[in-house]
Amino acid sequence: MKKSSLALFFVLTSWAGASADVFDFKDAKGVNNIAFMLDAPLESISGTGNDISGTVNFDPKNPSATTGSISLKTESLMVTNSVMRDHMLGAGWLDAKKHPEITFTAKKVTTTQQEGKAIKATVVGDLTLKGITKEVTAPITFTHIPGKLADRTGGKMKGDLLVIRADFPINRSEFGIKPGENTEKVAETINIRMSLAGACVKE
Amino acid sequence: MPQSQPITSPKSFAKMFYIFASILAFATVVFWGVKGFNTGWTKTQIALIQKDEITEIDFITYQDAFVPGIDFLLGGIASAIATSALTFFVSRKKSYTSSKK
Repeated sequence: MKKSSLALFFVLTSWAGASADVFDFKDAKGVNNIAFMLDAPLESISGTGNDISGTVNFDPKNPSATTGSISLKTESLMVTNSVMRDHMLGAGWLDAKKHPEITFTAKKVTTTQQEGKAIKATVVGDLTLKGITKEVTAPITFTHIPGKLADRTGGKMKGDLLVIRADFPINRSEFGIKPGENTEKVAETINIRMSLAGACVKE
Repeated sequence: MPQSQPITSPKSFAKMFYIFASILAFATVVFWGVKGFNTGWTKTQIALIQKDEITEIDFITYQDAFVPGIDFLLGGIASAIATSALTFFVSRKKSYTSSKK
């Protein structure tokens, strides 16, 4: 009796743990992107980065339990002017050689509402940029698309997709990016927009 | 009857500089206009927005392209003005040489 209760406990706990799927955000198609926009009085700058990796544990029935981490290779950041890009990645600004990754780690997700397939929530996480980690809070949208991985891979893999969208501002001074300097051309506020699709292979 | 200037004379040089400056200014404005009247900085790549059909994610791909910006326009016009200034310099040098004689 005791043994069977113990076995049942293990079965139940392993089942409960398995209900959150692990979604991999390394995207071979290069669709995943993190966009940034700065609007200073004299100059507007925008660009994207797309060398993204990371995993997110997501359970559509319990989105509040979502955990995970997303990283972006700093070198993958692009703008439309090559000289500006060299300056941006250089030691004076992002120092991409010394700080090769920008990382966001989710600590807490609060579900707010479900709109159709989209689950709108608020995420609290740690953003590490230029070696400095700060807590940020951002509105986030999860869209779980069951069984659509095959359409995206030409039938090679079967599984689910998870689309994550988040928009939030950060202050570059808080991350030690030339605090208070060049504000007429490079805005203090950097608006970040994450558009990511993760895959969970099931067969 | 006006006499034609030898091609190496200061007046001919001045005229050549003036013509070159005019062509440079005109060509700069026309090239800038043809390439889209870009009032931002010169771009060496253009961003193309695409949409992934399944995830509906908008993503950007970059394509090498030269799109002259306001810096190109101002640089071209400034060069034309500098070339025109040389015209006056050459003319004054000629008058100075003539007056010495």
